[in-house]
Amino acid sequence: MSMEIRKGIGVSPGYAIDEAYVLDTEQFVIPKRRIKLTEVKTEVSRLHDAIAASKKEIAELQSEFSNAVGEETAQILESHMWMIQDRKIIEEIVRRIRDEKVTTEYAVSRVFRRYIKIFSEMTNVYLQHRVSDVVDSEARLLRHLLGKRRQNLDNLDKNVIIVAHDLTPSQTALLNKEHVTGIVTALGGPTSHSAIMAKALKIPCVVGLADISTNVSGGDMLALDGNRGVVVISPVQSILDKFKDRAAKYYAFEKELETEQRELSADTVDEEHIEVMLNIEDPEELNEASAKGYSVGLFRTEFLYLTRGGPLDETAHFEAYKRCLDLLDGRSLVVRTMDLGGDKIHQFDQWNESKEPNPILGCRSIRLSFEQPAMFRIQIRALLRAAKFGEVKILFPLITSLAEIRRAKQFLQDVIDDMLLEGEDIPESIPVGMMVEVPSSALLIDLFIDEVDFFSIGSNDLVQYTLAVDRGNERVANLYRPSHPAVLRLIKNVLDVCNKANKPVSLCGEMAGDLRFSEMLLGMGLRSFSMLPAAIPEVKKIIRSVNTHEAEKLVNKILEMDDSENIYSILEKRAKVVLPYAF
Amino acid sequence: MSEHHQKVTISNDNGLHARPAGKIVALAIQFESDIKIHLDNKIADARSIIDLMTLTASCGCEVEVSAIGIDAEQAVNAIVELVEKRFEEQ
Repeated sequence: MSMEIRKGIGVSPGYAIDEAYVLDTEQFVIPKRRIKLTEVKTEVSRLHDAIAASKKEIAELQSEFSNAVGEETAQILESHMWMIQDRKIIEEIVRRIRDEKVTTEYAVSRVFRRYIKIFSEMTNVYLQHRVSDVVDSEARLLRHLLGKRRQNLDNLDKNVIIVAHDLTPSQTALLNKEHVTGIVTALGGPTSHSAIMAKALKIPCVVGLADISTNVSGGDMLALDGNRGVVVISPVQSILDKFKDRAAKYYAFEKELETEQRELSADTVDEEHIEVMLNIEDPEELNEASAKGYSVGLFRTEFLYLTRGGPLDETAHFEAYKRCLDLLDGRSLVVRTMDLGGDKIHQFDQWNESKEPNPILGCRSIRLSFEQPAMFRIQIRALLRAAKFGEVKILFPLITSLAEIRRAKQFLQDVIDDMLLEGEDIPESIPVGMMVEVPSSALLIDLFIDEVDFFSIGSNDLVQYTLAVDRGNERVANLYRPSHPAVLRLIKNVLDVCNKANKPVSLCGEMAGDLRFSEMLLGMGLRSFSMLPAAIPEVKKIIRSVNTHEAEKLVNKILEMDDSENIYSILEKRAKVVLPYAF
Repeated sequence: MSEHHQKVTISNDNGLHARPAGKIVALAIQFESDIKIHLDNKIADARSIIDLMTLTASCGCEVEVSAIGIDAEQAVNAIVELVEKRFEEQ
């Protein structure tokens, strides 16, 4: 196969050069093994054996279903039967085995991928949906070809770059992190789950490469550049050399930066002290060297649910919070109550029935907690029980009105009262905060100011709700602009009101860890950032180079600009001056 | 050896999708002749379901059925009849 260079969005920096592992509904690893001329005959007969076995399997299914209701199933099986023995497909597979000297599995995958691509590009929607027949036929053949040699995500035994349409949190949970050196997905933007997860694990990741999973077959060599968002399929030697060279420079720089920044405090040039905190989703992240010494500004508890595949009991919640507090050794822990919904909720099998046409505007987050008070109570009880082991702060997500924050506080108070009656020992005052992540609460921040002890700006959702862009939808992902003037004005408003009232406010979205935005946020008055551990060295470096008075001037200039693209390029240019290697 | 061809319009709702294509294949393999379906400048082998589906012949498309072989005429007639009967879809 000839070399192909694809440009996507780099969402987690770093480099990787490895074989592709294409993840589909059926999770196969296809060994691309060159074969010798003498092996061609064996490979071709393996193909015919696999076809015969597949035909037998379909015939058995057909007789099994013949009496049952499934008219539609019978029709699907009928077309599968024709597809598995299609002479055009067989001819092409055999030709590839002969001409390219590759294994049957690889040839099968190449040929079916080609057809899958043709189908997904069709304008006739009805036909386009028949792509599932092609996908199923490929999977059936591969199943027979690979037999027991199938490899699953959780038992990888060599290094691979994962290629997927999208990565679900449950797939992520299964990943054997040791052997995954890179991730490439068709869907997603900088704030998609795959991106956040890859960054947290420090795995280089490129997203937004439409139809990548149909263009790459398992075993294809890939070179990935997470800094520039580039993926090269079947790279030639000169490209490999270039990648290796860049990777060596980048990792040397990162290492130096991390060592340099670990011991330094986050103070600006004009000696303003800036608070830097961590975003985590698993208590064990606090064990990492890069997390040592920091408080937690955001513990995303929904991933506790997702990795377990459903609601947790009180003990499991309690243990997770207690573990964080033990590792934090006196430093504070902000726990956000369950923020499931939108892009994540469909992972829950048992809640699948309640599929919504518009989940991002639907019953998610705090709304879901109110709808499922029993589940909400379990989480709050566990938090209150853990509170005596350290400094816990409770953060309520997706608050859109005063009534909602009051209801959440009342819920909390009711649980406290119940537990006190039970004789539970609960600290006197546990700080309560709310996320500012919808335009309504950003605009009404002055009304919320006396309701809570602290605020946390959730820039991911704030951008999404302000600009009406579903960040997970690749067709509109380019409209997702954190530098949009409307977003900047909302953030500025929140910071102005909070600072005037001396109310603690932090920012915990992806913007906080994006070094392009650091100077601007400082200029707007932000003094507390919460980000992934991996982002800290770079952001700290920027903070230490900023003079807040200069930053304020920059903000004045930016707030007069009307174009998000121009704003972004100014910010990027300024960050590049301080950290050229990071780009 | 003879050659035969005839035009026919696809008139079932969803065009030449998996099921109708499968029916054409099932019929085509009963003949000796080499049968092709033409649409614009694309040619599909009537014995290949993937070829037929990737023709993307929607409802209203006029296709040409051609055959070369000893039973070319019967083959073309049979396929045309199947298309005209809308593949016996409900």
